Parts: sequence; C-alpha cells; structure tokens
Amino acid sequence: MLTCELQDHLLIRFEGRMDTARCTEIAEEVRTAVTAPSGPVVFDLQQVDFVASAFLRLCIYAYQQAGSRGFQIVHAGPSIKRVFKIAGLDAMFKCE
Amino acid sequence: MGRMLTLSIADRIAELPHLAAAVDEFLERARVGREAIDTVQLALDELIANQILWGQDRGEHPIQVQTAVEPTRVRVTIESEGQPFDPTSLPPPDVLRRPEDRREGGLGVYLVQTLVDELSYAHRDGRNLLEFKVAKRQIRLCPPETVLLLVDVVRDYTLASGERLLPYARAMAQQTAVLKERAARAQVPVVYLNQSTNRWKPSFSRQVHACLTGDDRGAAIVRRLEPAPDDIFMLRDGSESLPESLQRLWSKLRTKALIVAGLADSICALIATNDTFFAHELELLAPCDCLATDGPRSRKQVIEQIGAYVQADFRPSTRLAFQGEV
Repeated sequence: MLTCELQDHLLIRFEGRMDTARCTEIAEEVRTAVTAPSGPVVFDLQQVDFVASAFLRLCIYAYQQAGSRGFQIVHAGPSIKRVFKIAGLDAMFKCE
Repeated sequence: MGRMLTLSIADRIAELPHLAAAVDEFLERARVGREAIDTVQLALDELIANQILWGQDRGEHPIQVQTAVEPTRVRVTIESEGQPFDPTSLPPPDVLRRPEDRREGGLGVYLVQTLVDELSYAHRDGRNLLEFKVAKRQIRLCPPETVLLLVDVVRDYTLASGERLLPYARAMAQQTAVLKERAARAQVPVVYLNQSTNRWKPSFSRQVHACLTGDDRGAAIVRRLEPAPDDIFMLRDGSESLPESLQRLWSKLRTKALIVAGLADSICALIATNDTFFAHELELLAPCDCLATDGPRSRKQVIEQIGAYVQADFRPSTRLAFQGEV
C-alpha cells in the first residue's frame, strides 16, 4: 500500500489481493490515514485483482470519514466493480 | 475423473493466504477457468473468516477444507468443530442504503450467496459443515430473444407480510436493478407484470407513483426498479393466470428465454398455475439473487417449489450473460 498525500487530496494506491488477511493487516493504517486529511480521499485500485468484503468495509469507513470532502475509487477493473455493484456500493466510483 | 485436494488449517486469519495459494495452484492445474477460481477464492476467504471471527473457541479447532473438481463444477466443503453457526440464515445487509448510512456487517456472506451456484449449511455431530458449488463454465449466454419479466415488484412493501419481506426485497431490488441495466444495454425487453392495487381503475403509472410516495423503506425498492419509458407493463387482477395480451406479446417477440425476477411467492404461484405455458419451448431462468422471499427461507426451498413444476436455471444473475457481454 502506498500513500501519497498530494497537495489537495489523499491518494492511496493498493496492490494485489485485498483479502481478509491483508485488509486486517492494513486496516489500522488506512483508518488513520483517511481520518487525518483535509481534502478528498481517493483509492486507486489499478493494481488490485481481488477484493473481499473486508476491503469493502474499509471503503465504507473511508467514505463516511471523508464525508463532504469526498471519496472516490478510481481505476477498478470489471471484476472488482462487479463486487462493489453486488454490494450496492457503485456510487463510490468516479464517473468515467 | 474427479480430483480432490484436502487441507487442514488452524483457525487463524493469517492462515488464509496459504490456503488460497494451495487452492489456486490446484484449480489451475485442473484447468478451471480464472473467473470460477476467483469465485471459489472469495467464497473460501469470506466463509472461513466468518467462521473464525464469529465462531466460538477461537484458535483451538482446525478447519478442514476439501476442494473437489467434478466434471462440470468445483465443490468445496468447509468443516469445523464448535457451536452451531449457520451463515446462510443471516438476513441480507441493506444494499440499497447509501454508503454514508451503511453499517459495515453482513456483506461477506451476502457476496458469497450472490456469486456461488449453491451454498448450504448443516450441523452434524458437533461440527459445522458448509458446502458450496461453482460451475466450471461460469457464464450462461442468453439467446437474443430473451425477455426479462419482473413480477409484482411495484407494490406497497409495508403491508402485512411486507415487513418481513423488506430486507430481502431490498436485496432483490439491487441485484434486479443491476440485471435490468444490463438487459437494457443488450436491448432485452423488460416486462413488468403486476398485481393491480385498484381493481376498478387499474393504472400502472398511478400505481408506481403511489408506491414511490409511500414509506421510504418500501419506496426505495420501487425507486430502484422504476420503469423506463421503453419498458412494457401489464396489470393483472387477483387471479394468477397470465394475461392474454402477455401471451400474445411472447409470440410476437418470438421469446426463446425468459428471465423471471421479483417476489418469489408470486413467481411460484404464477408458474404453478401456468406450468404448461412456462414449460413450453421456453428456457426459464430464475436467478436466485433476484427472488425475494418473506423471511430467511433458503434459496433451496424456493428452487424446490418452482422446480416441482418446471425446469429452470436458478444460478445467480452474475452467471448470466446477454448477447454482446462476452
């Protein structure tokens, strides 16, 4: 996981399998990171090939923490998007 | 010939990646497709994590996982000791709720139920047994002459039996809405077949409007499934018979396959009273994630009821593909 704080927003790039074990490892770090910034929060999933519900829960947390600052997911592949759609969370995607 | 992999892991989350790697390698060698492997992996991860996090006596009981590659599908059983814990009895999470109002729980099992072909639970001799099946060839391609039929989705969901139905209907609405968007892109006609709420002055648009302005928990369902201008609506009175106009529409559209979604009870009754019609030269698909029951009745019961009258494909909507999607 790479966190890049840009001038006006927080960008977090995830990589590989975001399964329960991996999400459990990084949960604290992600939760702290998304609580701190003042601008919008962006999750980049270009390098992610698998998401479990634990990752969706992290996204819900980030979305709620970001509130009016805004939260969005970018560069998710079709199989990842499908999981978010089933969960009714497709509002998190950037309109591309 | 079938092939099998049996593994035993300690009930700790940190063990899951090792299991995933072994199962991945085994299924790849058995030439199972990537999409099916991903579905198996997601189901394993969610179901075992659930067992570890919510089961009792953590850290003491190994979990046995058996993965079998059969001619048409992958069958996985997960066996662990401990108190009975049936994840299939949990109500679905509220997937119609906006992300800002979401609670975090219940998503994992719901994802599994929506993605695998079959999920079942049993508790025998002090052991929890979970079994799921995933078809090797995951996608079923619908013929061009397919119609999507939505049964009794426009209604007041807070009436008597509606309260129990609500959480299941909300989940049905989300999956059916996604399926409907896909159908629209593939130019598959969508037909609403709905019980009329006004016997003397039936009007579908008034009925939609009335349901949209009611209690919001129910209105959200109708809003998610709100008819588009091109959709076809048909109202019927109390009887379960198919309107003649709908039968004419069928032959006019030369329908070869019919996907039914909506209220499970209405669909069961409709099929039971019109079984010759539904069985006649028509492929029937009833995606189980798009059927709403009025309680934690398992998919299995609904499938058995409908299956008693006609042959149908009950695999979840994620397993269907319209023309142009693959």
